[in-house]
Amino acid sequence: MVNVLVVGLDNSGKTTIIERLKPRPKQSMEVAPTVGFNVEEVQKGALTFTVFDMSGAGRYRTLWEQYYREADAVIFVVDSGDKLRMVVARDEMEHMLAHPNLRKVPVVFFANKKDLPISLPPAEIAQALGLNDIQDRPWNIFPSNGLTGEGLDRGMDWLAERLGKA
Amino acid sequence: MGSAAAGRIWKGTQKASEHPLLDTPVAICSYISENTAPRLPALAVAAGSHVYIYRNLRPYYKFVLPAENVNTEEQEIWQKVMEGEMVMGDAVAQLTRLQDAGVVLQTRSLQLMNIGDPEAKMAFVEHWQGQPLVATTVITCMDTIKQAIDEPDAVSCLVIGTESGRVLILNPAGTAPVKNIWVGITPAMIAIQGELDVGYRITVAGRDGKLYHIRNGELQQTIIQLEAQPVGLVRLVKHVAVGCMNDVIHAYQPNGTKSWSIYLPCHILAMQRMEVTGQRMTKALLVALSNGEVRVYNEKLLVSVHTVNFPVTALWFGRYGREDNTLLTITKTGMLDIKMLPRTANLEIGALGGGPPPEQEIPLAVPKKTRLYVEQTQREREQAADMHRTFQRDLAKLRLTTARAFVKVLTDGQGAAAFTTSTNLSLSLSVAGLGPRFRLTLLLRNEGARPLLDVPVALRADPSLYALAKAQFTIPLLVPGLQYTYEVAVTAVSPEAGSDAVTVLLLAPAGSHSSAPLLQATLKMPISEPEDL
Repeated sequence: MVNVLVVGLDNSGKTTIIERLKPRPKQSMEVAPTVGFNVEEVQKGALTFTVFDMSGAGRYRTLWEQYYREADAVIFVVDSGDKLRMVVARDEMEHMLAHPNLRKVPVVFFANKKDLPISLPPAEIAQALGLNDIQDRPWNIFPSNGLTGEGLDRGMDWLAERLGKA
Repeated sequence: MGSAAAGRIWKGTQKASEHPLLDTPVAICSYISENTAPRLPALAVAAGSHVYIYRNLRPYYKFVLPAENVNTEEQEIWQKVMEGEMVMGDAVAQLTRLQDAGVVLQTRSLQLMNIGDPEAKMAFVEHWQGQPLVATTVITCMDTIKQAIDEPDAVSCLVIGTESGRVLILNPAGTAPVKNIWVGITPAMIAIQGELDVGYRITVAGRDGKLYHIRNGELQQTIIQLEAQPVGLVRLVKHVAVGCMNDVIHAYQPNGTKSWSIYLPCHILAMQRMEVTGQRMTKALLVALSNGEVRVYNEKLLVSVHTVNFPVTALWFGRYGREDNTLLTITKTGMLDIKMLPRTANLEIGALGGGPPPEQEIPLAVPKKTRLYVEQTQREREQAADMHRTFQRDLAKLRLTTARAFVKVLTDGQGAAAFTTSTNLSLSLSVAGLGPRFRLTLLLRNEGARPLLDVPVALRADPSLYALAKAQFTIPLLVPGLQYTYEVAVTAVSPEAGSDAVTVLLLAPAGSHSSAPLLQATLKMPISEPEDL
């Protein structure tokens, strides 16, 4: 039983990714902007993830830090097509990693919406977010497509492996 | 807006579309024009004498400024010239006369007068042949005003300033003016506060370097003469801030009083309002300076500074894409700079230090005003002159009484005890005997620090009642701290006549600068027994 915190800017695809992680019959294709947060349970091999799907809207971002203490892992979703707000994503990420309540838990970055023609490759996103400066915790970045579920498994496998070791 | 008279629409960092325009645009506004959901904003582009209104990025309506009145004489001159009833020389002379009389001529007339070559003059008239002289004017500035409620998606109307010195307020659809206010001076910039249906103020910065105020459609008497030409006009919460060419920003209250000024180190290039939404609702003032700084002022306090490498030509703060607090900066080089305000940014007063210390905010423990106090204040306000007069009279009386008492003490020495301050002596008197022969005992002690030499002592009594054995004597030395005893025999001359007092005076030693007695004491004599016969 592990608590996973899913954060990222609004419209980055957090809820869509979580829908794709659920078993196929339970998935819903239509997602609305999250208000506050949602809690979901996802089975991954032997592990059961309790997923906190936080709202990314500006006025709800202060809510994130309330859940840092319980988090065993963090999934940070980035919209690869939103070049303009990459600075905002970086700002929010740096705030999160500097927060005293967040332990040295693994962080998975999903460079989501990789199907968009204007999407940036994961290497460029890692560069833009300054991920190479993160030395104190395991992290990895995976290109993903929340609509088809492509790339999500790789990220979750990596996370399961990290959490299994601990 | 592009220089080739085209509107370019950007989405994120990509150009989304380009719309050709007929004329060079002067102003652009987006506003909600209809009360129906979904509330899609319309885009108004002011160019020349037209406002082009776009919906869904398609041309929707074109508003044409209403024609101005043309001087009838000028009109007649043109008509005659075009019909050949008047020769060119006469026409130009007539137009010159009109201009000298103070008539503001139309551009066409001015152009005609400026053409030197007679042939070209004829050609010019020929060019306008058949077209009656109409006064066309152009838009100089444009903004929006909320119609009834102050909400982000409320219906708004366009407010237009024209070259002819008018301010027009259009209906929400932008089809017709609902208000036409004559200012008399070409508005260069306008700032709007309030709502059209509730109450509003429009501050107009005129080309003449003055600020004019329009309140609910009426031009106000208050005109503010600025020290220098205005370069920016921004409405704040309670004030209108105007930036001038002498590098000063003044903030005026709606009634025209100046609240504060900001003195800047260099020229102002652009000013804009910054309305931060989110956790902290802050309304601040953005100022771009010629040294590349873009400053943010909350009231008159600087709360943020950042630098742009090229001279700034325009600023805009608001929602861009999904980000609420975005600052768009356009520089002279054509660069579009997009900055986003971090969620944790604090633009409150005092965030950057400076400003008044926090102690200033702590209210003093002023006691409540009692009814007595209020009534007293009221009385003081109503009868201030009387009170002052009474007080002055009483004060003069007190001074007079004091002076009189002092003089009395000095001259006739009738006081019970009096002494000068330069020496410190104590004297106690006692009387022994039943009468008619008494013994008066003087106990004298020098309490000061210096010994006194040759102190004369005088005794006074009514000679008809008492006979003194010695009326005066001299004490050779008074050493500090010792007690001296002197006795004087006093005889009651006529015991039946009653009793009186005996006064003992210690006078100042010879050669001292004051004639006032050092010490004086009075003893009430007891009633004397009759003489034993």
